[in-house]
Amino acid sequence: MVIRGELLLTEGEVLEEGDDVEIRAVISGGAA
Amino acid sequence: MKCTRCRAKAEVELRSHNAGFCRPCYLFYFRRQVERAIAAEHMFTHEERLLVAVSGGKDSLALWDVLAEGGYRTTGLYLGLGIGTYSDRSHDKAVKFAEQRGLELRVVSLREEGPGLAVPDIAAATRRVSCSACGTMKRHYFDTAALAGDFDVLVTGHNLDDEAARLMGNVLHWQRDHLARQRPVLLPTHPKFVRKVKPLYLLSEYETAVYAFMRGIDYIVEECPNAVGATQLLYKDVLNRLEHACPGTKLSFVREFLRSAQPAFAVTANEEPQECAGCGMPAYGTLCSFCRLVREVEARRSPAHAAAPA
Repeated sequence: MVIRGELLLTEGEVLEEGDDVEIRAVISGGAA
Repeated sequence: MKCTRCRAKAEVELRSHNAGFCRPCYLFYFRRQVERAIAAEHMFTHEERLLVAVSGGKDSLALWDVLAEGGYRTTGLYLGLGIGTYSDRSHDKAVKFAEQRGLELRVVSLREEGPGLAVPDIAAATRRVSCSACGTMKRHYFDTAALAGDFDVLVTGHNLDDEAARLMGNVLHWQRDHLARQRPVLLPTHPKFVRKVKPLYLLSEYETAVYAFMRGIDYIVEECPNAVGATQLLYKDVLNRLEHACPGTKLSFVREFLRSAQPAFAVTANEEPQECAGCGMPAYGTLCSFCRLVREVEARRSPAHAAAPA
């Protein structure tokens, strides 16, 4: 999940120089 | 990319559905998917009392949010597993979520219940992987809390990725008894069990994460430290590679299993549980898996075991 500010970015979105983005993992879980 | 419903700019793309959504339409889509699963599988009604197992993670909190917004009678249940600061932080997320929405949350700490064993204590004593002990403890305390609270249904946040990974593991090892019980709704096989349901079973982890983000839900993002190297994560990784190359793979894997194959396994599973000689909960044997685990820990901690040669 790629987050820029308050918005999510889709795969085709172009990032500008200086953009501050968060890449958030979405996988969770163990073996149970 | 444009929103499939309203043609506004899309904020999220779902390749498995060949669709994109803006924020309002995505929230509509997600809630509708949950409601459809509840209705299609006859999971529960608005009159029934639901015990929602919450971990502080995205799936369980997103699910609780949808159910509470949908007017269902929900109570949260948080299990304190005793996994260091990870458990402390996940507890805080669950408590904060409930307080902000005025929802009832019950907290059960493993170190303060029954034998007083938390997950790390069991893993250390038995030298088994933590996830195995964690699953046994969760099932026991979920069952006892649902029974003690007189709830109708136990609701968990298992998602499509969880179900696909579990299915892959069960198929790779041909676990017929596990395949017989892998369904989004498990009807009680004993008066001390309640119905168990998984309303998110056709929604992916990505979809629940997007919902949680869009709803401003403050959930614990980091992975459980004990899950590093867990088999389920390997299966998820493999499935995600397949999904990337062939969108919709996970959905069809689970959905077609339930439609085509699962009924064949289910007809072979007709063993009814007795009552555990230790705790009185249902058991497939003299002792339930929880009591067997506790006794194993106690035996390994006994002075006689400690004195025995290796």
